[in-house]
Amino acid sequence: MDEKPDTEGKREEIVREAHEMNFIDRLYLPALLKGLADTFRHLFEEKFTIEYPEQKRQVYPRYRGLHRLNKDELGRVKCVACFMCSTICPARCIYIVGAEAPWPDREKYPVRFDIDELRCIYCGMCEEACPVEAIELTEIYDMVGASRKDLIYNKEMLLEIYDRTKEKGGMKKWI
Amino acid sequence: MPVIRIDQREIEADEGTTIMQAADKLGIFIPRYCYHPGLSIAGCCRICGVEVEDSPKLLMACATPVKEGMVVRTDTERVKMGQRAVEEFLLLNHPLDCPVCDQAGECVLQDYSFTYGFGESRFREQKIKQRKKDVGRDLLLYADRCIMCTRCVRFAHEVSGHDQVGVFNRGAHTEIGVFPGIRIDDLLAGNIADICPVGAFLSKDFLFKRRVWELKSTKSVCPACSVGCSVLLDHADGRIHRLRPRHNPNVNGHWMCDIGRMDYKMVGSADRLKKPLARKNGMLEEISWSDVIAYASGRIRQIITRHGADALAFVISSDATNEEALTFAKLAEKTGSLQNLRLLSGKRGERIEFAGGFVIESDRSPNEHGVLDVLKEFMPRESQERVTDLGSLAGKRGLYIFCGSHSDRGSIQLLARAAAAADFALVHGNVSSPLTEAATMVLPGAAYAEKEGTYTNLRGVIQRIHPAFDPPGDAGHDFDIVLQIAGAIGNSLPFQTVAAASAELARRLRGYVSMEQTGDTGWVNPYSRVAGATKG
Ligand code: SF4
Ligand code: SF4
Ligand code: SF4
Ligand code: SF4
Ligand code: FES
Repeated sequence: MDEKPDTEGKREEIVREAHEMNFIDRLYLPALLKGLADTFRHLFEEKFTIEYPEQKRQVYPRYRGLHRLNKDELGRVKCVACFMCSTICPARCIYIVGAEAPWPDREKYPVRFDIDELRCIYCGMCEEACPVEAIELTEIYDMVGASRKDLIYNKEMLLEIYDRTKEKGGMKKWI
Repeated sequence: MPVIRIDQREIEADEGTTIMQAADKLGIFIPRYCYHPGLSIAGCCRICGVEVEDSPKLLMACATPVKEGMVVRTDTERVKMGQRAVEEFLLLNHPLDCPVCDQAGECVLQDYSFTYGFGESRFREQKIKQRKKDVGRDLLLYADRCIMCTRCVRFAHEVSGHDQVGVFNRGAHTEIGVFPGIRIDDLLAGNIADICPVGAFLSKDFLFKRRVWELKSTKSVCPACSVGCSVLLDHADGRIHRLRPRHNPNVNGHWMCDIGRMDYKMVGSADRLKKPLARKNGMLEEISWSDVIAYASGRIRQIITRHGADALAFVISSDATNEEALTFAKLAEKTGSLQNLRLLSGKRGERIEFAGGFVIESDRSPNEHGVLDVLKEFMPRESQERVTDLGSLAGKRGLYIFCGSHSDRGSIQLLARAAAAADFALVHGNVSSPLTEAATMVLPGAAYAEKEGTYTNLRGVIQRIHPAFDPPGDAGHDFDIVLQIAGAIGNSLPFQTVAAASAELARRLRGYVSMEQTGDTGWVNPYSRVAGATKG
């Protein structure tokens, strides 16, 4: 026990030095009233907080949130598995497995497309690199999961995000 | 020899060579599509046009022989205009499939468009689209990506001699095709995908596996026959994805065959041995490395003390590198069993010769000549003629067999019977085989892509292989495994590293050099048996 530095005693000393209280301070009442006055003033001022999650903040149109994988006119994944996004991605969080497309008019498509949303830094480079506008960042920022694994979004999940956010254009709309 | 000037620099060019070759010597790069050093000159793509003094038009550098006093310019505005025009023509009907084209990243058209091209297209008409065609065992043809350089046609005519590819139609409708009813199925076909400067001919095996910029290349030597073509292993994440030939004038020139090209599959196969095994109650069970080394060396020592060193036999396959063969022979020397040292020969196949002189040898293993050179150096003269006689090992009590994945099936069966009959059979290899089934203990080793060392091909060219990645699972490096066994028996060897073994080899074997001295194109042993000189 002797080796342990006596931090407690020292702190008390410092505190006493900084707050040498006079009689008024020791009454506590003026400080209390001052605090209450502040609180009441804010009650009538403009509010900055919102009732999250019932109420959500409106993000700016170019906000970069969760990815989506777009679909073409026939509802097929638009991505052609060119690996441009995974090549440019500075966080190396996109994992793609390409294969021959099952459709006669398409050459290649991704059988697997995973994005680790925890590793992603939401820079939007993937979206910019994509030659067919297949990957886009949406306005969704609330991603929850019970484990890290839950936040690795696979192809089906990313296509589902497209269905959810279809009516809103991605970043390209604003360029 | 004619002296010419290229971009104000003088060079003495060889008689009969071209401006392109002279410029290459000077390090001045002239773009090229149709020119390939391994093929005849076609002069048809027109990208290599250069200005030559006193000539009214641009001359094709690849097809114009040098002449005394020639003054060549490769960097003038006219040359650049020519390059831009050719690029624009080539892209007129080009699909620009780059995102889904396997060639992207190593596409000459892509690179030149960037360096010499316009950057935009003035072509507003409809492009001709074509479906890909399945034209061979491992080849797809995307005819709309072709730039009509005719490299493929010349290759099929001059190198493989199978003439399956031709130019069809005329003018704007010209296209490359395969003659009706034929497929490009010869054993050199894979080279066509390599030499096609664009993504018109692509390999089915590699199709969509990886983008080329994700691959790392390791210099190696093909183990599928005793020619030992210089190759590049293109790999990513511990897996080989494709093989490409590496130019080596001493061995394979520019090409390699499809047997070797597909041989990489063995490296990642499910048959690979990944854990040391030992027989317990008749079954092979997993065991740790330290235990297997201790048990194996104990059994070997036991056989020597009870039955003498002659009851022990050592067999090494032609898959081993020279350095591994050296450690193995040293081990046999230390135990006193040199007279029982044997070679496990490689598979045999048909010797196939192609029109352009490329040969696939009948010995379908990488290093029979090197291993034999080493074994004969160590073995007593009177037992040397029995070096391949595996039948003489029947009745031996202890066997240490270093087998490979290119070994002769019949010999493996023979050895498996000998192993089953022996008191103790230690089998060291990289894939499971009847031999590992019959073993008392199994040591998992590396494949050629995972190890370091040298191979000697049948013409005596000593080439170096480099490791691309580590062996799978708990598998070890063969060289280290033999060293450990030797150490555990109580006979530590005079070298500890592959490099030191290689230096020892260079000292002991006539005409050999160490692994560092082989360079990228190998060392030609002047005393090689095939070269005619006497040896061993
Ligand atoms: S937003 Fe940036 S970090 Fe995230 S996946 Fe795209 S490129 Fe990678
Ligand atoms: S860049 Fe676009 S098309 Fe290419 S792999 Fe990524 S999402 Fe797919
Ligand atoms: S051949 Fe080259 S330029 Fe043409 S699509 Fe393929 S990569 Fe692109
Ligand atoms: S298919 Fe390839 S090699 Fe053959 S002519 Fe066309 S571009 Fe040249
Ligand atoms: S490289 Fe000279 S014309 Fe093609």
